[in-house]
Amino acid sequence: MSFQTVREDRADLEREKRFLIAHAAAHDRIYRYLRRRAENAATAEDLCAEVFRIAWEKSTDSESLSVMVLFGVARNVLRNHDRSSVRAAKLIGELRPPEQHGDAEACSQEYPLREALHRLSPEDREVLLLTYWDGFSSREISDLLNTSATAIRMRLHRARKALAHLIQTEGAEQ
Amino acid sequence: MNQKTLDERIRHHLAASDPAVHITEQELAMSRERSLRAPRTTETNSSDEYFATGSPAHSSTVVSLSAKRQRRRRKWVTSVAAAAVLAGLVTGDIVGLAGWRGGATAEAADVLDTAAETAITSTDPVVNPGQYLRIRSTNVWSTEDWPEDGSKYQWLDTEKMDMYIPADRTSEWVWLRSGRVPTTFFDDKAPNYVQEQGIQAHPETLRAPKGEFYGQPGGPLTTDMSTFPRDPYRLLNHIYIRTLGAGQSVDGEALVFIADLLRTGLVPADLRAALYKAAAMIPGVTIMEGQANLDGRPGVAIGRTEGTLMRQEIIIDPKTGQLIGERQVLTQDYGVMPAGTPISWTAVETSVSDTAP
Repeated sequence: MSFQTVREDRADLEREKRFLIAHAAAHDRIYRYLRRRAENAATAEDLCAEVFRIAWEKSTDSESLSVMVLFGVARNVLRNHDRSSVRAAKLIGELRPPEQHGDAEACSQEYPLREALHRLSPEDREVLLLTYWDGFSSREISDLLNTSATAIRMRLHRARKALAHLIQTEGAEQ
Repeated sequence: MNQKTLDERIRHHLAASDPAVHITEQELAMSRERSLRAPRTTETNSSDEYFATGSPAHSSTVVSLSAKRQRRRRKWVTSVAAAAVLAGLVTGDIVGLAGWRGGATAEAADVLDTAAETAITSTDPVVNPGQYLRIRSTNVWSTEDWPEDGSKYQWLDTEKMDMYIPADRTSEWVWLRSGRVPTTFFDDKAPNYVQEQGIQAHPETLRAPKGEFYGQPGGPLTTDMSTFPRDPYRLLNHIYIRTLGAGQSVDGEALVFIADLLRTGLVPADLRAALYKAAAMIPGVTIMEGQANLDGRPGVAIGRTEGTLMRQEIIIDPKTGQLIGERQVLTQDYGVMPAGTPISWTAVETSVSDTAP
C-alpha cells in the first residue's frame, strides 16, 4: 500500500484545472498552427508538446493561460525550432531558407501561389497567413507580434496586393 | 476586382494550399494526449508517487526567456469568457477526457458492470461506535539492489499488514506492519546476497489519530471518499484531472489511481460501483486473465498494458463482484524476472473488529 505522505495541495489541483482548461481551449488551434509551419506531423506534435510543457510551467502564475498567450509561446517555440533547423542545416552543408520548404523552381511550376508567397517579405507573409490560415483578426495579430495595428493592416494590404496581382494574371491567362 | 471578391479569392487560394486541411482527427487526438502529458514528462514517477499532484518543486525550472516575455500580453475578452465557461464545466467534471476516446473491451466492461451492480446492492460493514474497521492485506513488492561491484540483485518482498480504523476516524488508528520479508527469488545469487547483507524485516506497530501515521495526512488512506463524484463519467474526468501528467499515459494512470484507491479497502459501496464503471470507460482496458489467482483466491484479471514493460490489473471475483486485489505484471523479461511475473500486488480483506491491539 502506498502510504507516502504526499500533501494534497489544493493550489496544485487548481493549477492542473487551469492547465486542462487552457489545453482544451487551445490545443487544436495551436496544433494546426504548428502543423502548417513545421516539416511534418511528428515535428508538429513535438513542438505542440513543448508548447504545453511551457504552458504548464507558466500555469503557476495567477495570470490566465489565454489562447493568445499560448499562441505567443507557440510562436517562440517555432522560431527556436527554425533557428536550430538552420543550425543543423549549416552543419551538414545543406542550408536553405527556413521558410522555404522545397525547391522554389518546382514550387513555381506547381503552385504559382507558393511562389508568390515566397516573394513576400517574411513579415508580410506571416500576417497574411495568420489572417487567412489561422483566422486571427488584425487586432489579435498586432498583439501576438507586439506590433501596432496600423503596421499590421499595412502589411496585410501589401500582401493582398501582391497576391491580387498573381490572381489577376492567372485570371487573364485562363 | 472589388475588395470583397479579392478577399474571397485570396481566402480560396490560400485554403487550397493550407497544409492543415489534411490533418486527421486521429492526428489531433495523438497530439492532444501527448501534450496533456507534457507537463511532467521530465519528472520521474515511482510507484509510490501516484497520488502526488505535481508540486512546483517537481517541475522543471527551464523556462525560455522568450516565453517569459509573453507574460505582458493583454488578455482577450472572448477567450477569457470562453475559458470561464469551460472552467465551470471542467470544475464540474462535465468536460474532459472521459468517454469520447472509446472505452474498455466489451468483455471487460461486462465483468466491470456486473461487479458494479453487485457492489451497489451490497452493504458495507457497519462499524458501530467503539468498533474498528479492520483491513488485512498481503502486499508484494519487488526489490532491486546494485552493490558497488556492479552486480544487480532482484527479488520480491512480502509484507503483511493489519490496520484498525476507529469508527470515529479522528481517534487513534492502529497499524501492524510485518516489514518487508524477502520471499521470492529468481536465481541463486539473490538469496545469498540477502543472507550476506543480513537483510531482514523490521516489524512495527504504529499508532496515530486520524491515520496520520507518518506525521501528516496524505496518500489514499486519508483521502476523503465523499469528494469523489458518484456518476461514473464525472468520476473518470475527476480522476483524469487529479492524475494529469503523471505516469506514462493518462489512461494507464487513471487505472492505477482506481487500483490504488480500491486496495485501501476503505472505498464505500457506491463509490466502488462508480469506480468499476469508470474503469469500464478507460480505453485499452481488457480482460487479461480469465483464471487469475491472487493470494490463493481466484478471480478475473482486468487491466491495461502500459508501455512495453508491464500491465496494471484489478482482480475481481466474477461471482460476487468483490475486489480481490490488484497487481502489476511484467509483460516482458526484466533482469532475472521473467515475463508474466506479478512484480507487485496487494490482496485485501475487510471486516469489523470490537477491539484493536
